[in-house]
Amino acid sequence: MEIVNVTNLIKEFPLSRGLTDILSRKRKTMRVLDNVSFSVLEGETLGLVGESGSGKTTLARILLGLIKPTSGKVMFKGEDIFNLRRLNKLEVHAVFQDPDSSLNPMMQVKDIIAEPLFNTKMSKKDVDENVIEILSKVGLTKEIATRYPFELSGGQKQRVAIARALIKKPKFIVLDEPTSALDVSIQAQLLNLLIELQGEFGLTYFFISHNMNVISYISDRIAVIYAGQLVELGTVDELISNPLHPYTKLLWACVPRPDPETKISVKDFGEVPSLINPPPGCRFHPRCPYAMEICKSISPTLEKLNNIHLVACHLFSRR
Amino acid sequence: MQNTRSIISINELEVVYNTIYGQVRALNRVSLSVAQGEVYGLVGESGCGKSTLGLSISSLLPTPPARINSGKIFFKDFPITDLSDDELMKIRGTGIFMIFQSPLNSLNPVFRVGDQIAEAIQVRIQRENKHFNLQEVYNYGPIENQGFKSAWNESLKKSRKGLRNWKNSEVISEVLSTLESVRISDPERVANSYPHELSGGMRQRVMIAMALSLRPEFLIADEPTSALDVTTQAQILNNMKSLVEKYSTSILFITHDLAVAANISNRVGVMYAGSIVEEASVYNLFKEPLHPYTVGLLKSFPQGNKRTNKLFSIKGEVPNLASLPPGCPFAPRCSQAKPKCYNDRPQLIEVERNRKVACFLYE
Amino acid sequence: MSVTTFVLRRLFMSIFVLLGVTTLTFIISRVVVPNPARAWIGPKPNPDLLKALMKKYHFDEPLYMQYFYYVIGLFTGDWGVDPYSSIPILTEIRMYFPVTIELTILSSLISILLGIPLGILSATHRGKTWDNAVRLSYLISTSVPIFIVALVLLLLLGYWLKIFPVSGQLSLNVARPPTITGLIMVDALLTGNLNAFIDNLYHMILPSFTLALSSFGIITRLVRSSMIEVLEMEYTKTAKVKGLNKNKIFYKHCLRNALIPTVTIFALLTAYFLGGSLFIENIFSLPGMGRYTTQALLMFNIPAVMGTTFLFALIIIVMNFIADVLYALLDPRIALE
Repeated sequence: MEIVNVTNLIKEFPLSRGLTDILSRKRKTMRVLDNVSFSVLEGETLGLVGESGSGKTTLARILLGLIKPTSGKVMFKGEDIFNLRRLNKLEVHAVFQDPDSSLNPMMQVKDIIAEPLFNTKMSKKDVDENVIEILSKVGLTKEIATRYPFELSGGQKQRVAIARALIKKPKFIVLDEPTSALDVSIQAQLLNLLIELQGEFGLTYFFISHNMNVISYISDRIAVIYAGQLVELGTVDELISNPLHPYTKLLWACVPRPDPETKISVKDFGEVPSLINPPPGCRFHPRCPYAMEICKSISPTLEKLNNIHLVACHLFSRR
Repeated sequence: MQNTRSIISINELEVVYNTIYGQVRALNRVSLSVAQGEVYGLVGESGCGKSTLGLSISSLLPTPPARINSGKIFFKDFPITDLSDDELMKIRGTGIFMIFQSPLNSLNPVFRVGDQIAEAIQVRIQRENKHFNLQEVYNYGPIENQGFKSAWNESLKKSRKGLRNWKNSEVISEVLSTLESVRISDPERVANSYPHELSGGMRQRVMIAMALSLRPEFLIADEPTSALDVTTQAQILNNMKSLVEKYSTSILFITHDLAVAANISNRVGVMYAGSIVEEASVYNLFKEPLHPYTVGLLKSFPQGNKRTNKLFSIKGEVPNLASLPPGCPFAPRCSQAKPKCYNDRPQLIEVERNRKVACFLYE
Repeated sequence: MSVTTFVLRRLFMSIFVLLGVTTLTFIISRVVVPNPARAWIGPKPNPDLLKALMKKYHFDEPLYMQYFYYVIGLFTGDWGVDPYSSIPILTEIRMYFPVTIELTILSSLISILLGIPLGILSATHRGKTWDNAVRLSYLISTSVPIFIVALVLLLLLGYWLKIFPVSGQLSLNVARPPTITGLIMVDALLTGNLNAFIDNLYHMILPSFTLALSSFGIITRLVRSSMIEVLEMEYTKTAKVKGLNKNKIFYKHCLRNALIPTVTIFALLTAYFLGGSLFIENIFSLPGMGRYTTQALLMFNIPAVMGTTFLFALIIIVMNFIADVLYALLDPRIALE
């Protein structure tokens, strides 16, 4: 069953204009998300992978209702999230990359975690009980409750952020690079914790990362985003064993493995295009070794190849 | 792979920081050596002292608060720990060069990228001049010897004359060809750009181009790819490999990413809480790790999928260097710790040829 | 965005700020003295005279018309007439302004020459004796009020040690050179009167030194902190590890970056100097804008007060504009925003 359904999402940001643009009344925008459609199934982890500047975080912020899309719809359990009243929106929660900027340094841990309950009519005693319970769920001791964020390590801070996301018992959690700032040993602890919590609370994750190893470990399905466009989407096994889009192939080939026998063998990489002036047609075509004439003019759409695999590439288009 | 001559060797280096919490020992009697043309991968988690080690070698440690307590660093058998800034200048650049993690801050924001590379080329040319012989200078032995300074000044004077003969256009064309060699497709535009006009990956490539134009004998790369995307990272790694192939530069590659270390290194050292706990060839270290910390790190690296492989996680957290336990610093997190581990500190000893580990399990 | 666009944009903005200033000065002057004509004429006014005055200065018309006349006047060179002396305000300003220009230029020169090297010295010797001495000096400089500094220096160097003259622009036995630019030093040089040049400089040293003493601390503190920041930046480390020599690292790579923020405070300092001239010119009996403004304020000389306020605002806006342009030229990141 679908819990979140995104259709034809477009997000444009205005750019500052030069004198000539103002005089000629030209509007300049940067299309950060271009016609993105996908859905998240209940109970799954959908991984979103892409390079910096590809629109990952913008997508996360739209799903959280923090910014409005230029056009397109985001449906949460069949309802448009931008039509809902504010309270209901809180069913979606988030954990961000940098706990230092997402946790208020002037607040104690227990107040940080209890903050989402602020507007509910819960008694103080119930709130405290809830906080203690959720603390133990994320593997923190009771003593942490009265500390301030600066007294915690990076891993502990991220656990606090997870606890805050969980306190209202949401069904859907957006995780934006939750482990990127952490060391490998701490990252493993956190990934295990996230998997455990998912089983226990029946959570659905939207997991964003630029780290291919983490994404392919934690996800059930993976979506690949390039320059604001979804280029491929499929189950983990399918996408890893049978990547179709040339960009996905390039990404996979560039991922280093902790194994001295498999070295990166790619020779030509190219550059991520600027979103201010993206190439026409398929945004990947200047870097694509298989680019055809049609790729330079017509942007391919995400098409279903079979039940578990979608790809946006003219090589696999049935038209 | 093992060359007889080591470019850098570090002997029992101990570095302390004076902080408000008291003295913190960032490096605890660390010894290592890097041979010519070798890439030594130094792996460790944040706060283990790996960056301090890099800064110590390039003599860029902020002193105070940092201080080298004991130990020596040798550059081609020449001690560099006690050199003054003026003397260090002669070794830096063509001898030792360093690339930092943040590609935004490592280039000067107010100068064009091309000028900054040209500067590096001029440094090299000045020293490459036939009158100028680095070896000749070192042959004078330790710096107490008055001969060192005068020999240096003498050869510098001669080489300045050489610099004047270099036409500017030659430097410019070298700037462009170096940028091209790091696979920048429009070198003219990049050379005429200011750093902020370039992407992070581009800036880091410029830093590699700078290294290529200096042709240093020893390059310290402190997390050069950590802020970059995978495709850019792969490209930077390729560029660094070509540096080794072309000029047989030795590299100390500092990283927290095991996979990156596996990809570029010949030899790998694993650091934990200010000490090297294991050192082996890249093959041995990844195929049969010995130290429980290395084993744990490798097992906690996400591989495969959650359905098939449960990640191992080392319990606990990285210790605070200000309050290290007396015994093995890893003991509190180690699943195989014995009572002895909590009291005595294991030394880094050679258990096989070219294979060292600091753990009582292998004594 | 190119540098030209940036400059044009800033220029455009400056015009709006200027218009805002005219509105403010106008409103404030009318709030303080609703009918200036009555104030000039005394407690028992002759109704006919009052009417004539009000007509002459448009005080009988609605406020927005008065504002309109005021703004038109500002841009056509009619800044009003001094009601006491019947001399046009602009002519009076032309008489008084040169002294203030001399004072401001001399004091900024002294405070730059004092402030920047001290800041650099302090940053490069961080935590050592030199640094502590400099930090103490700028603490004193920024915390002691300017009139205290003026009085102490006046007593010490003027009355007791008698090293410097205590008032005036020229000694009694030195003739004032013919007015060309109004700046005595420049006029003296233009007419080849070296004696007058030296005498004027000698008279100006104590006032400008006072003004500089109480302002160099701002520069020193800023230069120190930005220099410390730059010295710890990774590009400084890159420059070092590239094998460049000390001078190149310091003068080429560090100094320019460290001085960029300093440029921005010159506009601020100009404001400070103009404010300071109010004290200095009164204490040292210099016939400058500061003295002129004080007298105008005390006599409810509204046209003069409005004229000087507008002039000061104009100078500060121009200085801000120059600082912005300099900033954009020095730091390539700025124009891009």
